[in-house]
This record gives sequence, C-alpha cells and structure tokens, in this order.
Amino acid sequence: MNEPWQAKLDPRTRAAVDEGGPGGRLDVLVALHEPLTAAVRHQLQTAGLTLMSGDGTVVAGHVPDVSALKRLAALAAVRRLESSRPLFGEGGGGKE
Amino acid sequence: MATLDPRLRLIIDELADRPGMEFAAAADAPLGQRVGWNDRADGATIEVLVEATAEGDLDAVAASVPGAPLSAAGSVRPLRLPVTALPALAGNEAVARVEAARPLFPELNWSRRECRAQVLHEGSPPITGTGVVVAVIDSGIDYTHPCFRRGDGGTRIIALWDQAADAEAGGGVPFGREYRRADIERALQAPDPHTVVPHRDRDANGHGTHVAGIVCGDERGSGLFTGIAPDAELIVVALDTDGVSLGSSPRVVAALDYVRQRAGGRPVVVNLSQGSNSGGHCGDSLLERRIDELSRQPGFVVVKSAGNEQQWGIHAGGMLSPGEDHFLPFDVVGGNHLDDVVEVWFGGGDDVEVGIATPSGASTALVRPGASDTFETGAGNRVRIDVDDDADGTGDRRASLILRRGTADQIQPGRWSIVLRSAVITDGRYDAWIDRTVRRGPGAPEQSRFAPGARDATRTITIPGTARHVITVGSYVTKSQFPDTVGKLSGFSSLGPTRDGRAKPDLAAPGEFVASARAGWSDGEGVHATLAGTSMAAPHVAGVAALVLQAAPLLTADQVAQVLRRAARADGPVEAGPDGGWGSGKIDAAAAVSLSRAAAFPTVVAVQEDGSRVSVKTDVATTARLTVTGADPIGSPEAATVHTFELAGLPSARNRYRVEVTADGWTTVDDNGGRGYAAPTETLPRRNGAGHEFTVVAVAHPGGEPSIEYDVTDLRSGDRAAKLDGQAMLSFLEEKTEGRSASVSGLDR
Repeated sequence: MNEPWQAKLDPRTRAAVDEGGPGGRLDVLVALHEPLTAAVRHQLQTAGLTLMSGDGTVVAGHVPDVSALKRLAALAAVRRLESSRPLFGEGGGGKE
Repeated sequence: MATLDPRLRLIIDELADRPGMEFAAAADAPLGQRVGWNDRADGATIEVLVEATAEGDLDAVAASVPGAPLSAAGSVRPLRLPVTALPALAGNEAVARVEAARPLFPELNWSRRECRAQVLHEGSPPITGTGVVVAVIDSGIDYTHPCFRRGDGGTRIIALWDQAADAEAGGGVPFGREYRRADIERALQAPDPHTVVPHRDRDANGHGTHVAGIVCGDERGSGLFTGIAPDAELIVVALDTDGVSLGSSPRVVAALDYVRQRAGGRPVVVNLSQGSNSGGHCGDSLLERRIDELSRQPGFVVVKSAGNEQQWGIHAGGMLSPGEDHFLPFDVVGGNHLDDVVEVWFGGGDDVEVGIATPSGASTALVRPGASDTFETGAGNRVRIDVDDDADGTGDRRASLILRRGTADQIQPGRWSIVLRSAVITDGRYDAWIDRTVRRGPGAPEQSRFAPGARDATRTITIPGTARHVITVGSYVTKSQFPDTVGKLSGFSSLGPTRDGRAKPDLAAPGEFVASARAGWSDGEGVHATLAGTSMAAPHVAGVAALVLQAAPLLTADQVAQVLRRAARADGPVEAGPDGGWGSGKIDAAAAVSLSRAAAFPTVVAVQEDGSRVSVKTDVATTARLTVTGADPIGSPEAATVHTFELAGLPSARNRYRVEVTADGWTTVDDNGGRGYAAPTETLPRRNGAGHEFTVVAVAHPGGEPSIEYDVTDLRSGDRAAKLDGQAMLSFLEEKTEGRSASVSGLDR
C-alpha cells in the first residue's frame, strides 16, 4: 500500500490488482468525493468504467479487466473503490 | 375417543345435527368457511394429521379408512379421508389425536392480522398502500400469479428489470432487459405469456415471488390471499442468481437507482431480502452508503432482512491486551475449494500485527498495519493477509485474510488460527466475520466457522442491514409444528447490535413459517408456498412502511423507522426497549399508521463547525445529542434551538459525527449523508430538498451564546440573501418554499 491509489481499494480489489486477476469483466462500486458530474462521468468512462447507475456519490459500473482498476483509483475524484460482493437470499423452504 | 381439534369437533357436531346429509363442501359454504377448509377440500374429503397412541398401529388405521394415506411412516401422519369417516377415525383406539390440516390461505390472512394490517385494510377509508410503489429486488417474479393482477386482469407491475436476461438493443436499462406494464399486459393476454415476456423467477423456491406476495399480494377478490399493501403498485428487479448467491452489491445499487427513476417521484419502499457478511458491519460498505444516500430523500425507504446468521458461527469478538498474542481459531471442512475470507476489525488506535497458523501448526510471519503479504502453506494453499488503515473510511483498521486453495485441490481442512499480536492498544475491541460461502447442497462445501469457544452470535446482522438509514427486520415464529416456539424469536434470526453499537434490528415480523405466492415452476405445488427466513419477515415490514407512506408520504426512512419502532408491540417474550434480536418488538401496522399522522419531527436547519466546536440550529426547541464514532455521545439535554458541542479530546474519526435532535419524543438525525464533515473551520454550502443552498458565514459569541449567520440562495429563482440570522433564514425559506411540496428538512452538502 505504498501508492495513494492503493489505499482507495478494498482488500479483495487490491489482491486482484496485485495478482493480475481474475480475467474478464469486473463489477465495481465507486465512491466519489462529490455527487457525479458530467466531467467526472467522462473521467470515469475514459478510465474504463461503464456506468450501471447514474448519480450520487456512489455509482455502480463495470470494467473490462483488472487493469482498469488502477486507472480508476488514481482519479482524484474517486474516494474508494470496492469490488463486487455476492449477496445471498435469506429465506428458503422448510417444514413447518 | 381421540382428542380432536376444535375445527374437527365442529364438523362432527354438524354431521350429528344433520344425520343422513350428503356432505358436500362446495355446497356447504357456511360450515366450510367456519372451519376454513372449503377451498382445500376435494369434494367431501378433508386432510387431517393423525397421531397414534403409544401402542397404536397407524398402518392398520390407514388401511381401515376409506381414504388415501398421504405419508407412509411416522407416528404422526397426514391422511385424506371423507368427512363422514371422521367420527369413526376419532373413535379408533389406536388414534390419540386428530388435527385438521391447516389450509394455507387462513394462515396467510392470519399473518396479515398478526401484523395488524387487516384492520387498516378494512377501515374507512381503507389503508392499503394506494399511491405507494413497492419494489422487490430479488430473484424475479411469477408475473402471471393472480395476486399480482388487478381485478380487470391487468398487471400491478409497472416495471420489471430482468438483469440476467439478454440485453435488448436500445433498451432503457444498462444491461439485461426491461419490461413495462404494457409489455406484461400484452403477455397476460397471450396463450403462453412467456413467449411475450420470457421472464421467470430464477430461484428454486420462488424466493422473489414469495417476497412480493407478502409485501403486496392481492387475492381479495377470490378470498384466498392478501399481502400487507394490496393496492400498492409494484416494481420488480430480478437479480442474477447462480442457485447459491442472489445478486451482488453493484447490481443492487444499479437496481436501487432504477427503482427511484421508475417510481417517478411517488413514495417508494424497497425490500431487500439478501445480504452478506463481508464488511465492517457499521454501515460503511459502499452498498450501504448508497442506500443511506437515497434514503435521505423523503418517501424513499429501504427495508432489509436481518439475516439468518445467528447460529452459523461466522462472528467472533473480544478484547485485545497489549503485549499479548490473541488466537482466533476457525474450522475449515474438507472439500472447500472456494476462497475463504475472514475480516478482523479493530480500532484505528490499536497497533495490531496479524498472522495465521495452519492446521499443521505452521505460522506465517506477522503483517503490520498498512502492509500486505502473501504466503504459501505447506499444503499448497495461498494466504494473503492485508491490514489497512482507515478501512472503508471508518478510521478503524481491518485485517483481511484471504485463503485460497492454491496448488492444492482444497483449502486444508482442520483448525486454522488467526494470530493477533498487540503492541499498543487504545480501544482493544475486535470483531471478526467469515464471509458466507456455499452452504450445503450436493458436492458443496460447508461454511467455515469459528471454533465453538470463539463464536459470538451477536453482531451477526448481514450487510446492508447495518446501514444507518435502512430498516432492518428480524424474524419470529407464527406457525410451527412445535407449538412451544410460536411467538418466539426465530432461532436463525441474526442479532445486533452493529459494530459501532447502533441498535439493530429495528423490529421483528413473522418469518417462520410464512405462506405466500408460489412461482408456478418452483418446487412444490399449488399457487402458494410456505417458506421461512428473515427474507419473509422483511416484506411484512416493507408492506407496513407502504401503508405508513400512504398516510404520510413525505416521511424519510429515518422517520418511518421511528414510527415503526415506537408502534411496535412488546408482548409475549419481547423485552421492553431495544433488544438485539427483537429490536423494538413486533410490527404493528395499525399503531404505526396512527402514529405517523401524529408525529411532528424537528428540523436541523444548520450545522456549523468552528475549530473543535460544533453548533447545531433547529427549527423548534429540541434536546440534542452528538455522537462521534468511537466515543460516548455528548448530550445537550436542555431544550433550545441552538446547541453547541466541544469535540476536543474525542477521537477524530475523520470529523465524522452525527447529530440527533429530539422534540416531543421524535428525533431527526443529521449525519451529512454519512459523508462526514470536512476540515473543522471550513464552511460548507449545503442544499435542501426544496432547492435552497446555505452557507454559514459567521459565528459570533456575544455573551457566550452562539449566533449563526447564513448566506442563502434559492437555486430555482437565483434569489440570494446574505448574513441572515436563524429566524430570518427560516422566513426566507418559507417565502421561497411557498407553493412547493418539498420539505426544508434534509440538508445536503
């Protein structure tokens, strides 16, 4: 964690960047210092982020591969970057 | 004579009163309605549960009854038999007890009564969710189910985003496919609706359909099933599921934004019945931050299941001592080829080095805060240890331990142990969670768990249920084959508080067992299914929140939560006051709607930072409390419109604090959207929902009383006013807000 951009990543994302994997598209959440503006949107897209949500200080998106994460985290507008976390349903079948 | 339940005695009495009658359930509505089985009866037959005496032979009993046994083993068995055979069955010496099968639909309606929603549905005027949108972000929906259709056969679904469907060129969503009301109505008129809208609930149990049915299912026309908000309209987002997980944090954020857009400004309640153990459990994951951001807007409420983690052994916690090694053991079962991730959280002032010992006894080197390292174990596994400062912006530290199988075919089974070596301890408290992985299932590994002596069932609320502005719901038992459990908290229901000490869950609702809509292709048969989990509890509360928003559509999520908590019932085993399992008690829809009409919430009109001093101004006289993360709250118990707090000596926590002001028992919270406050001497322009921007321009202290002045801009007209005192600012706001519906509360940066 010598570089400032590394501190913006959550540990799993840091591991992915350090280890160069996994390959392929990654869904991420990006926290911004201020609500998304057109200028910042352009910066994010230029860094490789395809947005899946449109406003606020936390936006969802995906990058084509892990190499884009470093570019995203290096942006001054980006406060934190968190890779996708699976969620699990909290109900199921069973006998009464 | 065997013991009969009252419903069966009623039937036998009726038969005795009318000897020789040809019993036909369909033609005998009064009796059928009274015993509640007419819809389940097949002609003149009825389903019963039969319990044998100690010496009784149920095989012989079943053979003697002119009906079919529904199960071939056990001392209690279901039978279907002609109702006229009941007296003979009851008189059989081998039979100890006969109980009528409980039809599903009265149980559904009973759940509605248990929440005290039915009294609102039947009131004048009825409160049924009219004008409110409920959104179910889940596994999808059986949109053909009758409970999601209007009386004229049309659909109650205004928008359906299937995130897992193949994308459609030019569609209105960033991926997947969207169907609007017109698409679904066209499908419903087709011979095979799924050729027109090829969407199905993707969960084997029909999880999303079941949840949606509880929130807003409506079969009032047929007398079958009614959910909590049967006149609400519905938005559905179908998450992708692999049969194990249900969506992901970015997809849910995208779904929340979609819901807000499609709701078109109407009040909306979102139900989330899925969660994760990954994160600090203090509301700072980015999914939670987005929920909090959205939930500050009036009329946007997110309800979340508390989680079913109470007994899974995925949390451990305790105290660290300086100069001592602390060992945190956890068990990995054989066959685990997936990553295991353990997060250990401790205070930012605690200098802790972290390592791990394998089941073979080998230990890694220790990793210092701010560093990371990866180790190969003798069994071929790879372990990455990463200790970061200011984790997730909390000011706390987090050690992440990621176990991978590496070159081996599995993570080494057996007892691993995390080593925590403390040099300097300021706080000492630590909490650790093991991420949820695949549980059960053919060929699937079991969840790794902390060793029995290390487990702590508290602090097991799943994320995003620890968000600051989400309403989190535990489960209690309302229907069970074990009568002693009825009315008690479900054994699986996750326990609070959050890691930062906030009371969660907020309250509890029926979640074990709940009958609701069944997706047509899911496991089981019929149009209803019975499921259990906090997934089933949350939609009861989401439905009640919709009823509250019908009555008071401009309430914020925090305000709705307060109303629900204050209205909650504390009866039976529920302890008075916030409880780690029950929250404030059992949901009470009728009391909540009544309270929502009477509530008068104070407004925070400004928060000013000056050095280490914070001043808070409110619109009416309030008491106030300021909480800095990691410190005891500072109270200001005298009723006043300006409160001043000294932060000197408190943990900095990056200037993150929340202010709570209370008047007449109603509290308004200002935490600047959870984003924290900037440098102490900086003045921040802040905006409210009515389109005003404020900048604090001066603080004087004549006679020790703070005086706050403001520059105010009405963003719509461009009108500005400079150096207004508090009263003048309020007058300006009132003048500029006249004719607008938005509240002047809810200041944003």
